[in-house]
Amino acid sequence: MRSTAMHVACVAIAFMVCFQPGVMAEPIKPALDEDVTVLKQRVEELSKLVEQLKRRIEELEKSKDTNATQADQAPENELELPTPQPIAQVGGAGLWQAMNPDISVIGSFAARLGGKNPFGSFKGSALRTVELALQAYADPFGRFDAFVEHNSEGTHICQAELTLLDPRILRLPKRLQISGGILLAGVGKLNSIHAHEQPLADIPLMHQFFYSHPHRENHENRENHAHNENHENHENHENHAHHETISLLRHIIEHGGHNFHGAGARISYLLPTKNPRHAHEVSIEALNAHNLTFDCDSGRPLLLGRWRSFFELAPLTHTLDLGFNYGYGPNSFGGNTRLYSVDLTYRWRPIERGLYRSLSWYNEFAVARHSGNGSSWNTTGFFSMLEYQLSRTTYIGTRYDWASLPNGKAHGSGVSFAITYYPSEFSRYRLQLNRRRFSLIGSSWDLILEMTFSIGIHRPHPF
Amino acid sequence: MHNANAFHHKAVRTLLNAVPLLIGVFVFVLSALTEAHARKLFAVTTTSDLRYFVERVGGDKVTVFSLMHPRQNPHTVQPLPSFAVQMSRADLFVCIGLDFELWADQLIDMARNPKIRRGAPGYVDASIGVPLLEVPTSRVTREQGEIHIFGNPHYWLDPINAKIIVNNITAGLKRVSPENADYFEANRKKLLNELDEILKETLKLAEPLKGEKIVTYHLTWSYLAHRYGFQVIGQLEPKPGIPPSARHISELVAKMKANGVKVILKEPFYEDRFPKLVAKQTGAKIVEVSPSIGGDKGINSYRDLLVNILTKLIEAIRG
Repeated sequence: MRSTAMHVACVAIAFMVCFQPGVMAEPIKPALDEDVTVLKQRVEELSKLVEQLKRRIEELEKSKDTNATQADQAPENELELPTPQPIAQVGGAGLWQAMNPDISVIGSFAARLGGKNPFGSFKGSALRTVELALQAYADPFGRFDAFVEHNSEGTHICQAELTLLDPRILRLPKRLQISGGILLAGVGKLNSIHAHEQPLADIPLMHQFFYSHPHRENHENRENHAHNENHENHENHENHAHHETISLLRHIIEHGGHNFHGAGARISYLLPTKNPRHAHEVSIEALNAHNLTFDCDSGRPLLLGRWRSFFELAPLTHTLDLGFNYGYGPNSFGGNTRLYSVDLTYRWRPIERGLYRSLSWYNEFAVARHSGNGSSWNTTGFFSMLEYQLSRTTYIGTRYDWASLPNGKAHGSGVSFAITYYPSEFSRYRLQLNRRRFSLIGSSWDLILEMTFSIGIHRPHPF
Repeated sequence: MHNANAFHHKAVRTLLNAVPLLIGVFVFVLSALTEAHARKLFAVTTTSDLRYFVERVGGDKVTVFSLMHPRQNPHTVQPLPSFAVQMSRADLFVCIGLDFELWADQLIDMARNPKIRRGAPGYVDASIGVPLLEVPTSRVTREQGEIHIFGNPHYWLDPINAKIIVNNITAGLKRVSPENADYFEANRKKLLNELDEILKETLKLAEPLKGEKIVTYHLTWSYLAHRYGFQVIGQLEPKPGIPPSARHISELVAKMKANGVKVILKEPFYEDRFPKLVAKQTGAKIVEVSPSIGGDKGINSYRDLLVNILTKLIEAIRG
């Protein structure tokens, strides 16, 4: 009975086992096959990994051999650029400092002996000019350069120029450049050079005569004179003009002159050229300027055009810079002035010893055709200036000047000699002798001792 | 008749006034036609060393123009308008960086080419990622001379830094010409392997220089000394960019005698007077060698450059 019960129980268990749903659905043999496949795959993967690790170890051993004596690690051969190093600690106040413009101050002291003979009278020493420069990129599309100058005649902005560096934002061709603000006029090579960069202690007589600001006293006199013109006889008129011219001449001699600048806009175009050693640029400007040649008080702007061609006569060594300039605008004589000028600059700097030897030869010739008061007349100006570098620190220079005043009533000529010593790139001492001869006031000597210093970051000026 | 003359004069005047406009239109059309010509990738580099690396990675896909002459003093480079014209048509501009080329930004502005402005795909500062030497650790002032605030920029004289330069250049080339990325990558790998071989070769060559002390004219050779294990104990310039003075020279002579310095290393663009004076007083030999590819005769590759410098130094030290 017990055995019968045992049999029944065994059959029941066997039945339950045999008819268990999982066992029925997945036979034992296929499940084992799958496990084997999975294990095979894993072994294969591990074999690959071992191979990779072996190769890596070999590479590292090879690299270790190469740099056995080196402390530094060579960069991986995979192109993984190193993380750029921070150039400044920014954050908090540092951010504002990092965003500061380039600021520089260039000061020039001068002692001057002048008069009928070289040691005639001591004109005193004075802080001749101080230039404060602020230069920075305003945004991704433009740069702003501002230069404020203080001299014996007061403080004025000699250049405050916003240059649009990417004209494509205005859908203009990329070779165009647009500038606006107070600009140094594009009339000759030397006019674009700031006072502290000039090869001699003063600017050429032609620039002093043509582009000086009207002498305030003279300007007021002229207005009074015009008011009383009807009441004066011809002789008085001539006398007045004579005295006014003498006063103007003395003022220019005493204070020197100014670069030609004015408020307005410039558009320039860099011409494509196949010769890698040539460059050509054409520019057009509309300016509101007040100087002895042009006076835009009438509200009409002055128009200037310049064509500049640059040639490397010998690569990097001998260069020639040629400019043709044209200007048209109102003058202070009640008419218009047309200005034609040509400038030619030759420079030499040897490739290997460029630190010790160089030569620059600047030339400029200008003719101005003035009209006004029912008549027209021409005035001319010319200078030729040579600067030679004797050593790393010493330069000598000379200049010949000839120019007539825009009113046509006086002219002057002169010769200058200078020796300049640069202890470093940031300071300069210069001794200059001027011998000049002027109609109406005779001849004069000037001995100028100039000391110039620079602090801060001052970007290089265009070549 | 009078009216006809007046009309004639007016027509002539109008025509004359239109001349500048016609010239402008002509120039514009001419330039547009020139631009339209299809061409290879054009790269401008500041130095001949960078030119070499761009040519090696760029291969026949790139034409390269170097602004500086290899025997030129980088401090006296004049930013010529003709440089700006070259840069105006460049797809890639590669510079040493670290204020080595202080004139570069001026030229980039003059070039009017948005492709190569700082931050643009075509601007490559080869110094990115280079471990720098002589980074100022205190406040920088002009009292220290013409100091480089980011560190010494003459880093290309170390083959490991050359590999970083190559990586930076390749990344730049890939940015401006992604369609040739595989080609540049293959050239880069080849060049990096070559630089590894150059490093091995020159380390072996420079073994006699280990521990030697030398004097240089300028701080040009710091990375070379660091890599090959010799020591620069002084410069003829009292401070970077400041001409030698009598007082400094007498101090340097005393220091050289005390340290048994046998070599004065100078670049061809520095004068001979002071090195000769010091050499006469100390018995040291002057080694004049260019730090750039193409600066000395027959030096046309990076390997040639390093082997030439190291060989001349070893010869001078061995006497």
